[in-house]
Amino acid sequence: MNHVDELISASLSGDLTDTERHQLETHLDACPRCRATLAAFTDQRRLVSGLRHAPAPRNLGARVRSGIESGRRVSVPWWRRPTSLLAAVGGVGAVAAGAALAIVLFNSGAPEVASSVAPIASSSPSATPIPTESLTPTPSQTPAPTPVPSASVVPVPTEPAGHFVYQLANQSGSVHFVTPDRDIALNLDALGMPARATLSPDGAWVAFRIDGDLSGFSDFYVVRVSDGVVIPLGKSLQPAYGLGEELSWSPDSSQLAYTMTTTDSKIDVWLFGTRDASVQQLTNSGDAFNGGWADKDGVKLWVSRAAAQPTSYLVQVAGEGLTPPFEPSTAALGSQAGVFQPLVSPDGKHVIFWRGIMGTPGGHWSFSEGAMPWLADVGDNGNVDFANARQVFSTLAGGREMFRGASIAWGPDSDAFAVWDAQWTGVPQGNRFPDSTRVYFGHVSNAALITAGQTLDAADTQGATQIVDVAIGPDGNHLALTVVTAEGSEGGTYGPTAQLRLVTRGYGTDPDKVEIVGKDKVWYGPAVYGGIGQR
Amino acid sequence: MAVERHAAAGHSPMSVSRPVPGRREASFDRLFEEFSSPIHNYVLRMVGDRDRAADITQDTFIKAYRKLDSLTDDTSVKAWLYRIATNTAIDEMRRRKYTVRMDDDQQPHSERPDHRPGPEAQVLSSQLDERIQRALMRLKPNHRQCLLLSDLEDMSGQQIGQVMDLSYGAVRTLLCRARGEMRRQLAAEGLDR
Repeated sequence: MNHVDELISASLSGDLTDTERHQLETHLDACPRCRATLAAFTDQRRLVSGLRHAPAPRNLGARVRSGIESGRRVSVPWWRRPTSLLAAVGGVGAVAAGAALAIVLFNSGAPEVASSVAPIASSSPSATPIPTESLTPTPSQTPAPTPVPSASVVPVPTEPAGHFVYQLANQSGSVHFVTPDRDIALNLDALGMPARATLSPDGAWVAFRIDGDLSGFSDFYVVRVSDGVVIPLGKSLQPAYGLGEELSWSPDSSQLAYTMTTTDSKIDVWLFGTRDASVQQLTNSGDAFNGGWADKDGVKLWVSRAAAQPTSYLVQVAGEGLTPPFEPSTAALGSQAGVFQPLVSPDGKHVIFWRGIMGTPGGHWSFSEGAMPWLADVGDNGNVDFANARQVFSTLAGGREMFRGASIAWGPDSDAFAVWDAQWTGVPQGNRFPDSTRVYFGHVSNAALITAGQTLDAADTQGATQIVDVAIGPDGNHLALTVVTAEGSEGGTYGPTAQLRLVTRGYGTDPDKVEIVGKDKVWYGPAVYGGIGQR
Repeated sequence: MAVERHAAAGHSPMSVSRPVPGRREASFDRLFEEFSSPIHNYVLRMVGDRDRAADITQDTFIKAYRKLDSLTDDTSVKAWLYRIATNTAIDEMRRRKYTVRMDDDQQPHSERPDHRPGPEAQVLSSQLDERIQRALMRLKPNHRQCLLLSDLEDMSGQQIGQVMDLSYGAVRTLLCRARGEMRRQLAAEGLDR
């Protein structure tokens, strides 16, 4: 979506200022595409406004009167109620009020679009609470909770190091991060379903995203595992088709890169620095998505600008003469046209990225033609061999058929990788391949990468209506799947339920072993693998 | 090219007097008389099912009756009532099938686009209505809500913001996204330009 589309949309309901209307009229005179958009939106409004008016049931009045007199009152679900539990813990705040306030803060710009080109980008994160000095970790305060034997004698963990639980009790919600030895109640500004989580390589921090349900917003946070201190990173419109979901920790755990979208659809990359608990906007081009880190020191980050032909820049995030936020090309050490969102394997030797034509068909950046994930190797000199990349879904034809998006995660062993929520728009192959409700598990060492044969067993995702997140264990043979199951329990009185399914891959024809963590009224997951507090 | 302002129409947000002590029943009766039909129609388009729409409309007015005293002079009656209806509808949808994704593969058969070529009768109003409704039902709930409030209920951005508890700027963004998505869904129904 661009600014002109928004003006066109607003023009239909007479919501333009004189300046905006003049601006739009001038633009329309010279732009056939936008004239077509105006015509389409106008037609659409005509169609919707012309929908037949269905009369209310004749007995509606009697039913209402009967309901009033009988004292029957519709039960108000938990997500609409101010809760005593939440009030008691103070900082969590009343859900509705807190969310509303957050949105108000988030939209603190003037109501006129023309004068609010970038109110969010400048106001949102700075408006979000930044930890006080006492919460700011210093090297001396950085936790080193329990002595851990050296890696050489530690068996590779096959269980997640922690997972999220979103629980309803007394009709109020709370989010916990649960490790094998602790249950940390998180003090959040907004409640909703935890949807994505990553553990920093040093095991000290977990970055995660909370999706507000119908609000269309996501809240980003980090939690310090040692003491449960939560730092809000910002509020974002929810990404489209998995684009912009990447939470990328630098290998030295000094930086987290993430992407946020403002309400005026400006998409930019942000950084969280663990050394000083700082939140910083890195880019200001309004169309930038973060990829992965290309070095171990948290200095070189892949940043992609969405465009019909996207371009990825290897950006230096700090250095002499660099004052973020900046336009990515101004801080680029190199660039690659036609490449979008390179995700770097933990050992830095491989990159999974997207190729495809992008557009804003739904009002937000997404792929519009020929989009496929590709795998490229990184040479010893650090250069990515994009020219000899391999198609991840090696048996799909490509061309005009494409993925609208997909979620991708590397395993810690840098060989395994998972793809899920794969939104294939082409004709599926046999057995519905690819399928957005299945998980695909490939290995760099397997030349086929992903074919229908790399699909996790159907039993692993049985009953799932959505795959929310996938985490791969360090040995590359265990996965933690967060899957939304059937509608909320007890006749749907409660919110969505997600199960955490711990999968151990079976060899050959042996079925996978699946352990389900979950029960009614509880959202389990996502999970993180790795070592908590390794150093 | 000129861009026309859409003339304001429909119900005046201030057309119902606010309740005063002793006139509660009369105020509610007027509220019901004026808004029951449009609220029912709006809810029907939100949920796409007559029985559910009737239940939600009933619950909306029961809630409205109980909350009548919370209306203040600064409250837009229309926005207040649509907000109750919207929240009630969303709660009901969430209870019923929150987790069911509305992409083509998972829709109930009855909600799938019908691409079969047909005689001219295909474009009879009832079938056109169904195709538009199918397109609406494939939108995200907040997109559907925003679009209906604008195009069916003819609300301004400010009024939609009052109903959805969003800033004016957020409404404009959301509405634009909704229109973009609706354009694609209408195209899937063969209703594109």
